[in-house]
Amino acid sequence: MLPLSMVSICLQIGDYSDLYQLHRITALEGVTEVFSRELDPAWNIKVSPRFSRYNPWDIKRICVLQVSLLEFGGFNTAATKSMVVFPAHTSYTNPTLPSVFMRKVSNEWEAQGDPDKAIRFIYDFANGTDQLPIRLAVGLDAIGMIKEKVKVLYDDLENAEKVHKDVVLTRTG
Amino acid sequence: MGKVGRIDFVFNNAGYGLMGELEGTPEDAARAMFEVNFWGAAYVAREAVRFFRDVNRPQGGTLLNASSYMGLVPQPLMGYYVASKHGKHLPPDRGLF
Repeated sequence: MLPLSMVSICLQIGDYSDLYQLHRITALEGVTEVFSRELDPAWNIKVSPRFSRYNPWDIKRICVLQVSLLEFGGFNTAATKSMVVFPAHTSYTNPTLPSVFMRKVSNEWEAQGDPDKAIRFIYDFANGTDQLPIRLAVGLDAIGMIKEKVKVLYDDLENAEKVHKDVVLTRTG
Repeated sequence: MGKVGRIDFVFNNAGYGLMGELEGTPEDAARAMFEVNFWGAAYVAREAVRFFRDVNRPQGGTLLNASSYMGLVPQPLMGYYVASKHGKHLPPDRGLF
């Protein structure tokens, strides 16, 4: 049997009001994105311009309050040492599995990112612009992997379009 | 706040990782991590927004939520961590879900 996860489209584009529905499936990233779209413009909030087609009044506002998400790559912090590691599940022994490989190399792996430089970059970036993006990837490893993921998502959508059938509710009367 | 009268930036960074196969990670450990990585961050975010709006004069501020590239690009052994950051397709051990 093929296990399938049910994922809402809200997860990809965010949603104005259904914050707690999203909690269950999108966790921190989803909540950040929803927050950036829920905040009342009367509080002088501007969300990222990528959402301006949903919130047309945003672009007229001065940005004083922002909610952004930092997508960090690998940084040499205490996080790698404080990681809680569990022993391998007894069924996962095939040496060609990525998880088995990762366990093998994780002891020698050292993150290349310098956290002090990252914080300086973020601080300067946040101070130096009045328009933060909703997402900011920090580290070339993060940028490369996320770009690859976006390409996979795009290709999946292109393929979905090719096989797509009419699934619109037929209303009678 | 007491000294300078306002908060302009909140860097919402607390969190930690779990490493283990989805099937090999105890549920109580995964739930405890969600309390920190997700609920901890959610509480800080809510309080930051409230503070920027209701306390800062003039209103305003910047909230930076720390995530990871894994929030978008799941990796094996990091399933529950990935889920706490994004959880978008109840996560990897690639191809399982």
